[in-house]
Amino acid sequence: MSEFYKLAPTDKKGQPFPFAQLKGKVVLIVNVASKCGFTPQYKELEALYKRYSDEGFTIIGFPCNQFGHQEPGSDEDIAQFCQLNYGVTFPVLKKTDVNGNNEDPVYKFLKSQKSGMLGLKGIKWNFEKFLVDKKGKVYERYSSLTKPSSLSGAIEELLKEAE
Amino acid sequence: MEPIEDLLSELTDAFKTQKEDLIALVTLIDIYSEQVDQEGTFDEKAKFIETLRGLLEENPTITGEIGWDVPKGLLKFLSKENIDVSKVLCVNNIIHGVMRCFYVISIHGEPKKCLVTGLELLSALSVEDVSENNGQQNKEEFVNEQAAAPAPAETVTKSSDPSDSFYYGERKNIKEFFLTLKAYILFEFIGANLKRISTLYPSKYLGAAVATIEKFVYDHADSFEDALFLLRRVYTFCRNYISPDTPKDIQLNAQFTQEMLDKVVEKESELQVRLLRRLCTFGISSPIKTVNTNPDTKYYCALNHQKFQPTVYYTELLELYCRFYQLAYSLDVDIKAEFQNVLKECRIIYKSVPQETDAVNDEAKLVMERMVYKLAYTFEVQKAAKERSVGLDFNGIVLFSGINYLETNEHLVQKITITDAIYLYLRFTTPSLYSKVYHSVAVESVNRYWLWYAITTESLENVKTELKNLSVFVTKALLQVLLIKNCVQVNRQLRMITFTLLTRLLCLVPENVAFDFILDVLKICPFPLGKTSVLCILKDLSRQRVSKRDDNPETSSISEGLSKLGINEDQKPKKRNIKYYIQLDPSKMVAVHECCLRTIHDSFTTDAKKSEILLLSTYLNFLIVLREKWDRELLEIVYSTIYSRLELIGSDALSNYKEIVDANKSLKYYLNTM
Repeated sequence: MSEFYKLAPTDKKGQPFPFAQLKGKVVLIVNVASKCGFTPQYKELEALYKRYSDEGFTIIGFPCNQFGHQEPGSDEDIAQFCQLNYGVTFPVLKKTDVNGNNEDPVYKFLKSQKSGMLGLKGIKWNFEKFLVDKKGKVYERYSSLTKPSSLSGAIEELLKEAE
Repeated sequence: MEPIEDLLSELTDAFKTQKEDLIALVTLIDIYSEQVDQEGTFDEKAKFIETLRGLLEENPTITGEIGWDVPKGLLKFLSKENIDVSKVLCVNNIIHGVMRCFYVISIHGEPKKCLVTGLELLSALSVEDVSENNGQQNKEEFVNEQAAAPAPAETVTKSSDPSDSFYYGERKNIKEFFLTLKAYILFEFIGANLKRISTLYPSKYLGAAVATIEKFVYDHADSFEDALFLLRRVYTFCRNYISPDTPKDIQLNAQFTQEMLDKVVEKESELQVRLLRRLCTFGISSPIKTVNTNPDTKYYCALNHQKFQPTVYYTELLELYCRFYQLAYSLDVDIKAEFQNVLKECRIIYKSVPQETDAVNDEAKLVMERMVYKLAYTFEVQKAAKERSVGLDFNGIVLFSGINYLETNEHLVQKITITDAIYLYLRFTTPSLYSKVYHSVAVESVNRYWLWYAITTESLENVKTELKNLSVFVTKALLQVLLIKNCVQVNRQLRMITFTLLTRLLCLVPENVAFDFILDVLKICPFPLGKTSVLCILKDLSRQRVSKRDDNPETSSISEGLSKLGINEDQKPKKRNIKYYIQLDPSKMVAVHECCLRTIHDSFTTDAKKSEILLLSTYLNFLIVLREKWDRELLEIVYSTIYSRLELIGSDALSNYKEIVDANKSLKYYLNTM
C-alpha cells in the first residue's frame, strides 16, 4: 500500500482526516491562501472538483500562512472565506506548514516524491499542486502559475486508469 | 535643437533607412537622445521616448540587434531635471516611457547581450550627484506652488489628482531615490533576460548576475538609509528566477548522448540552486548590517512578561526577513542543520584556546588574550582565500536562526550550550574589530539572543560548570567585546538589556574572572560609560547574595533567574557567612581605590571632560553605598583627596563639580557617623 494512504492530516475541526479514505481516487493537493494573487484559482479548483468528483476525483486544500503571511485567519475564517467567495465544497483542512521544521507529514511525503523546478523539494509559494493517482503515487507537481483548468487532461487520463 | 516633430520624423526614417547599417542607427539614437535630454522640454522628452518605444516594438528584428545598446542612453533621462520627486511617479511620462522601453527591449532584444548590458549598468550605478540644496530648492518650489494655489475646499490629502500628492516625507533622500529607481529597472531587466536565454549552461549567466548583484548590494548596503529596497530587490530576484528550458535544438549524437545531456542538466540545476542559496543568505545579511534584528529584545521582553512592540519600519523589515526565511526553505536550505554547521565551525575556531594556567608569564598571557580576539578574523580571511565553490553566507544562516524565533516564537535549536553561544558571539563579532567588512549589528543582535537563551534554559549549575571550564581568555574576550559594543549602542533600551545580560554573565563566571574583568575595565576601558557601568555592576554583585537556587542543579525558572538581577535591591547582610557574587576583600578594595584615585586626578585636570566628572560622581556614589563594607582609611583618603582638589579650583569651574561637592559632603557625613 502506498505511504500516501497511511497519512492522516488534521481537518479544520481538529479531527484526523485519514487518507485511507482516498484509496482509488485521483487527488489534487493544493496549499492555499486567502490573500494571495493566486487566490482566484479557488474558482477553477472548485470547477474541476464539481466536474470530476462523481468520477472519483477530489481536491484537498491545505491552508498555509508561510508565504507572505497571506493566510492569517483562523481555520473558521478560512472556511468562511472559501465558502462565501468561491463556494468551495472540496475539503479544506487545518492550517499547516508545508516547509521547515514543522512541515506537515503530507507535504514531507509529497515533496519527497516529486521535486519542483531545479530539483528543489521546497514549496515555492501558495497554490502549488500535487496530482496523485488512484494508487497513491504522486503523478505530477505543478507550480503556482499552472492554472487548475489546464490540469483537466491529466486528471482525465488518471481517472481512466484502473485501480 | 530642431523642432521635435522633425527630429521624431528623422528617427522614424532612420529605422527604415538604416536597417543595413545598425551601427549608424544606434549612433543616431544616441545623438538624438542626448540632444533631446539636454535641450528638449519635458513633453518633448516624453514624446521622444514614447516614439522610440514604438519604433523598438514595431521593429523586433532591429531591436534584437541593437536593443542591448539602448538602455544606457535611456537611463540618462532618469535625472532630477526630468523628475519631480515630490510628485507621484506613475504619472511621470518619462519614467513610464523609459520603463516601457526596457520592457520592449527585454522582450525583443538579444537576451545574452541585454543581460551583459544590464549587469554592466548595475555595476556602474552610483549615487547621483544631486546636492541636498537642489533637493531643498525643489521642495521649496513645490511648497511655494502649493501656497500660491487657491486653498482647496477639502484637505490637500483628499485631492483626486494623484500628481498633487505630496511625497516629500517618503523621498527625503534624493540621491538614494535616483539610484533606487535605476536599480529597480535594471534588476527587472536582468531577471527578464535571464529567463529568455537559450542555453545548456544557465548557471554561467545566473552566476554573472549573482556576482553583480552581490557587488551592488555590498557597495551600497552602508549608504542606503532604507534597507527595505535592497532586501526587496534581492528577494524578488531570487523568488522570480525561473531556469530557462533546455534548448530544443540540441543535437543528440554519439558524442553527446541523452545520458550526457541529462547529466549536464542535473549539474546545471545543482549549480543554479547553489547560486540562489548563496544569494538568498547573502541577500538577507548584507543589506541589514546596520539594523538591529531584535530577537534579543523580543526574548528579553518574553522573559519579563513584557510586550514586544516593534516600530512600523521594523515591522516592515520583519515581513521581509520572514519572506527570506521562507525563501530559504523553498530553496531546500536546511536552516537547522546549517546552523549546527555554523556552531561546529565556531568550535573549530576556539576549541584549542589554552587555559590561563598554560601561559608561562604575563607576556604570554597578553599574546593569548590578543590572539583570541583575532582568531575568527584570521579564520574568516583564510576561509575566503581558500573558498573555491559557491557556499552559503553563514551570516545569513545565523540571521535565519534569529528570524526563526521572530517568526515562529520557537527556537531553532532546543539546546545550545553557553560555550557554543559564546563561541558563536565571538566568531561573528570579533572580526569587525579588524575590518568593517565583517561588521553586522543584525548578526550581533541574534548572537546576544542565543547568549540569553543559553543562560536561561540550561541549569545554572551546568552553565557555571561550563564557564568554569572555559578558557579565561575566551570568557574575558566575550565580556570585553560585549561591553565595548554596548558602550557605542545608541538605543537606550537595547543598551539596558545588554548590560543586564553582562551582569547576568558576571554572576555566572568564576568570581575572580568577574572581578579581574571589572578591574581591567576600570583601568583601561576607553569609554567612561563602560567604567560607569561596571562600577554599578560591581556595586550590585558585591551586595547581591548568591541565591541558593544558583547552587541547585535544577533549572531555575527564567523569571526567577532574572529577578536575581534586581540591581536596585538593597539587601543588607544579616549573617556573616553569606556569599556574595563578588566578595569584597582588602586587596580588591585597594585595587578599586587606585582606579578611583586615578579618576580623581583625571577629573581635576584643566581639560577634564564632563564624562570624567560623571565617572567620579559614580565612584562616590559607589563608595557611599558600600561604605559599611569599605575600608574606612581608604574612604578618608578619597574624601581628603577630592577636598584638597576642590580647594584648588577656581570659583568659575566649581559649578562643573557641584555633584562632586555634594557627594563628597555626603561621604564626609557618613564618615563622621560611622
